[in-house]
Amino acid sequence: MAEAAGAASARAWEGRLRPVRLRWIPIAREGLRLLAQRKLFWPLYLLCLLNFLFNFAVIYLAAHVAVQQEMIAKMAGRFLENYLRGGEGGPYYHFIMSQAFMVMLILALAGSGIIGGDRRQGALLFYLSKPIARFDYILAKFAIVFFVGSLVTTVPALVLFLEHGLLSPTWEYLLSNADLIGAIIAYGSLISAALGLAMLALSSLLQRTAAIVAAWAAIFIFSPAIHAFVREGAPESLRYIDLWFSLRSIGGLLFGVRRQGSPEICAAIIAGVAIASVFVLARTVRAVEVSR
Amino acid sequence: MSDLLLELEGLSRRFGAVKALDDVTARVPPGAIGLLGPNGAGKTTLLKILIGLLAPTSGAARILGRDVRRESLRIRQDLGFLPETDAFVLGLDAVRLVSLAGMIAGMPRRQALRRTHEVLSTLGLEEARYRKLDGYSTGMKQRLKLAQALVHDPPLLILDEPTDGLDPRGRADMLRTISGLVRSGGKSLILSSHLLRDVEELCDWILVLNEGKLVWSGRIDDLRSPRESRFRVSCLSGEARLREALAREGCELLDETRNGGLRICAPSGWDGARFFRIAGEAGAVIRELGPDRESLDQLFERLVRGG
Repeated sequence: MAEAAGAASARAWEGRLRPVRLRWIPIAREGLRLLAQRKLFWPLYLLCLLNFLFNFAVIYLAAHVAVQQEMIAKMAGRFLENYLRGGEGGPYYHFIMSQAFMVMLILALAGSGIIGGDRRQGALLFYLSKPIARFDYILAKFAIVFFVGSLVTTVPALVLFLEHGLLSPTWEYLLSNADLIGAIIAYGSLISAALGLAMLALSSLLQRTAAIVAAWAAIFIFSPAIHAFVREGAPESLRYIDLWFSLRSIGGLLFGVRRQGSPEICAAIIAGVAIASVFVLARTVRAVEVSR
Repeated sequence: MSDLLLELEGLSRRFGAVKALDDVTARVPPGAIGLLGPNGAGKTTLLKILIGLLAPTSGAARILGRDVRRESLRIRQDLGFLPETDAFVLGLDAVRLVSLAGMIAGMPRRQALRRTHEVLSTLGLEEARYRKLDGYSTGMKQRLKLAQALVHDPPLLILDEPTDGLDPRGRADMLRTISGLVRSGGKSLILSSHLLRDVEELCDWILVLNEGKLVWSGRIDDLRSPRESRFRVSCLSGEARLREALAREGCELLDETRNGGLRICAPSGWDGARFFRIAGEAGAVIRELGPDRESLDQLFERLVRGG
């Protein structure tokens, strides 16, 4: 081995290094590959797409089947009505909001080990002893959860929008509702970013998968339940306990549908969660464990 | 750029009330440096400050002429770090891990892959390169840690206990490899180890830390150079008479060696001929006479205990 090592050192590498600002990309790419290798990921992703497939089929039906037929209209229910009316952001708002719950589920799998696992296994030291800043590492991990979130929200919603437009007899739908593309991207990104950051913060803070999933469930399942429980006779402001309420409110604003609550307060709550998450990440993502 | 590998100026690091490093000042030329000290001496803290993972509480440190506070990215670009603990991304195989290390260091993907295969095969991991890391032995893990430190061909290697957990053969292999990298490959080395023999074999300069303080910085040879006045003497006969004669001449008996010889501290200016003359006059026969060299273990003990 010694002779070989001498030979290796003689073959010096003299290539050009890439700029520092792009070095988060290989970390994100490898993280996504690792995620795709997990057996549970693909079944869960398919589960996340069930709602999309249903909507996809409904739009197809609306375009190809005699919509007057009462039975089909009944089957398709409100989805069909929404799409048939067209020109409204309602269907996409409802679609993304229902997908947000699936984002929560898939992030529980994808995100729970993402920084916590690195801390537990010592991989944080592997990454941070390389020529990147802590920010690059966090950016790479954020890119992973954001990408996964967008695959469940933004991408299928855009496909539905395009499907609806392309199956329409004219270009009218696409042209007159082009602003919905922006709303879909903005709302899908907001949900992916807010939930993704919260999951990264929990993952870095708690490390153990079981604890992370429990805390995750407490935030996104029990907070609406608590809100519902105390709603009777409680002050109106208590509804802001439920993070979903704020997300729904901002979604309503973006898609121009009926909404509750003050958008300013809801935006402040979401921003607060994001800032708190970044603060936690900045505190916990270190390659040095200080024991006192 | 400075000609020095390492410059430390009053470097301190506190963790609450604990002083992990206390006013450490040293200037070290390029080459192979050994970092010695008992557990808790501050070795790992110093390494982490040098790599930029930890900020000093006060003082300054420069490595390869770069300030650790302001240029930590450039410093990490120029070094490869082998950590003491396992630092792997589980689920990857060796090729993916080492090429990932190369890409994070800024190598284009194809070149990182090509270089990964070269490095893994030179470190004897060719056959295991597509195996998941979970099944690697300790020796393989140590070599893999070295591979990920080497992939971008840095001019400086910082190795934290590289032979930890290795069997004697694995340790010898690892030391030969590191020695090849330093002596033939022209790399500088900072080696932290509690195994003094490793440091002795690889390094020509040592920094000795104890309780956060620097107790020695210098060439091993300078530290261990035969202290002019100290000798080891063993006799075939007449040892008691030689002892008395030496005592009369002003020599001090330090202790007895394991094989029955004597460790003597003589007045300055003495040489071997003088011992033989005194032995002849006292009727003693000297079997062996030589300078009293300290092993690194003895040196270490002496330094740490303030002797």
